[in-house]
Amino acid sequence: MLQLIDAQTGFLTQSHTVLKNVEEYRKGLATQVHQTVLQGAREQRDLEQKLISMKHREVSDEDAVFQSEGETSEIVIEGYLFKRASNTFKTWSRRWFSIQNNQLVYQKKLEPVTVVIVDLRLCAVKLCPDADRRFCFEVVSPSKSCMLQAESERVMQLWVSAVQRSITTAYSENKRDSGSFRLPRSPAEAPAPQKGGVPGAQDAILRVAGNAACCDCRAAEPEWASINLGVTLCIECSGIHRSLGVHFSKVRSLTLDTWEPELVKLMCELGNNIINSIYEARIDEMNIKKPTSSSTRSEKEIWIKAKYVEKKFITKLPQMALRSNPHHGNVPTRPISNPESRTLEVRPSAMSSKWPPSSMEKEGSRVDGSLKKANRDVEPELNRPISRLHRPPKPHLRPKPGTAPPPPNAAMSGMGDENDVRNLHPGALLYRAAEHRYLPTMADALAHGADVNWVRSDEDGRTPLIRAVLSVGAFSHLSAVLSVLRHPPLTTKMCGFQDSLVACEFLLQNGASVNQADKDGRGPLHHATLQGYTGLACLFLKRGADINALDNEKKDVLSIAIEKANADIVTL
Amino acid sequence: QSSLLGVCKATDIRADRFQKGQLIYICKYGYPPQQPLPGTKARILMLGLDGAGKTTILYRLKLNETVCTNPTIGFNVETLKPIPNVSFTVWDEIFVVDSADSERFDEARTDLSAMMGDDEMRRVPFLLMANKQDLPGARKPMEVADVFGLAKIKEHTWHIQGCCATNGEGLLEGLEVFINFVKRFQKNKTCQEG
Repeated sequence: MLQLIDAQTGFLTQSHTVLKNVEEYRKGLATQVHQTVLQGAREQRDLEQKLISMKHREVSDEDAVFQSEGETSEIVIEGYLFKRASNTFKTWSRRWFSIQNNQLVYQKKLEPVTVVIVDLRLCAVKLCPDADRRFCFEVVSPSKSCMLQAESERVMQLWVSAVQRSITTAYSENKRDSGSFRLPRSPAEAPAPQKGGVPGAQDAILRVAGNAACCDCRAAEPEWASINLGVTLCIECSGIHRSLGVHFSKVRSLTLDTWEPELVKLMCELGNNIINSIYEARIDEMNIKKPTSSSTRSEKEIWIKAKYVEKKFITKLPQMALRSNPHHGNVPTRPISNPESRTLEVRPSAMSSKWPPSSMEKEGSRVDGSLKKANRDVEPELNRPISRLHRPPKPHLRPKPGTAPPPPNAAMSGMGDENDVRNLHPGALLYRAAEHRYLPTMADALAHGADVNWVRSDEDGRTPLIRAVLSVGAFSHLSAVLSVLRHPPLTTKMCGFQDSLVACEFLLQNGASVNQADKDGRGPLHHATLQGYTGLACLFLKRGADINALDNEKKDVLSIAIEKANADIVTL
Repeated sequence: QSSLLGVCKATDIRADRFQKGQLIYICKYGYPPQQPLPGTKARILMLGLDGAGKTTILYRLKLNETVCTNPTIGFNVETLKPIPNVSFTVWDEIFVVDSADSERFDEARTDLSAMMGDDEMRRVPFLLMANKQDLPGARKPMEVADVFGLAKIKEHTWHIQGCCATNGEGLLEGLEVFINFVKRFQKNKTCQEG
């Protein structure tokens, strides 16, 4: 028994010693394990960090590739893309692509560049979500289509926008420096419409007060314009204007279209501030917010329709008459009247405050007596409807949404008094404004539903267009506008003529009939010939005036011209 | 089989006369008519002044809905399905006119005749789309034909179609007639060549 216990004790002691020996090792091992785990964690962290930095580097690599734009002007964008072969195998290969000099090109190692798209203006780019690979886009030109794959969604977007951007710039460059990009012209091409273009038209138009931002959403740098309204627009608003139809708005591009001198002057006479003072006259009062450039298309569309089609924000007629002249920021173009000149203007008719004080003053001082007499002649008739208008406004005084302009000759046909008020007033306003060739008031009258072919029964049945022709010769204030356009200095006589040309152009753009004759059977072309205004005659002929029309004395335009011995018009 | 309907940008078509330039440009720059776009046998060039409604017509035909368009810069290309069994070789042409904008008929007519006068377009049939028939003051197709002097054109087979891109009226009818023209034109051409 004792032996057994001894043996047991011996065994335990031995085990104890052994375990004691092992313990140190075990402790060492534990620390080792602990350290290894720590190290592992550290390494993992390092690796993760490396991975992140690697990713960062990748992204910045991309940037490095694409940031090259701007530094060298020729290469817009460059980088590797996969290109699908156009042969039957449709294999994909990786090539170094770039856009330079308006061309899409690629390179294989050190070989010279291969041109894929000769002229980007003739191509379209679109995304291909249905392609058999990811991140594909397609560049389509008339002769071929090229399927390309980018390395990521972002890179693809960069390429697509770069292509689109270069298409846009290629177009405008083509327009600006007419030399280098001009395409071969066909002999069949008529050179005539080309020559009327005014260089620097865009700059001149954008310099007009308010024109530096879209008329409807205030987006900066508008590149489009409505030539019958006389405003500048951003591309989206121009798209909406276009959808209204040409009877509301005629859209042209400032950069891509050719601008004839009379159109440029028309644009310079009007402008966003003036037109908005007419079409947005009551938005403050009505507490209505204008859309901004970030508004959605449908918001802008609702706004534009309300503004120009339904004309919701124009003044009601009686207020219109009392409203002061729209403030005009373009001071040199039309001098703002000083208080003295206003005193000349004080007349019983509320409407007279609408007249351009500057032009009235000048005319008043020049053709003093006759003009005042003329005004007096006109006043009784004009005052009649106006005095009526001082009563509380009737609903029908406002041009109703969707109402067609009053039919021509309405004023002549002896309609009732109520109709007189409605038809005569804006029409008479337009007629008077045409006489003074004052475009802002003409625009105002048209906004209020004036019939552009309104007939003045007591003045030989003349239309505003004929009136504008006949008022040629009086002094005008257009010389400032003309000097902006760097035209040579003009005589006052010439200025009057130019001004009248713009007024006629404005009336024609707004649908005036170029052949409507007065009581003597004479149309605008007859009158222009009688007065010997070659420029106007030229404009009317361009707009389809009938050269064979006979007046009541059975004379056509040609025989009048011969009678007046006007060689220029005869040759026209 | 499908066809390609390319819409040329408005401003290619006028102003600096790129439109005529465009057509000639394409041909002059070795555009090989024998080698159409991969997978397409037919191609039609739709031309017309800006705002005539080319883009709207294109997407009406493609999607059968009215899209809101901004002025196109460059051009649009879409592949259309509903035109079977036609192989167009040259740029067969659809010319779009805004029927409500009678003031610009002259401009449009000059463009059309310049394009039709080109050697490449000899005897190629064309379709004139008198678009925007829904607008007030729109001229009827026959009036447009008069203004354009179509009756005097002997070299080309033509058809005029009144239409409205925003509701799709007249588009398919016009296209159908046009395709028949093109088919006949192709047949005659191969006969002559053979």
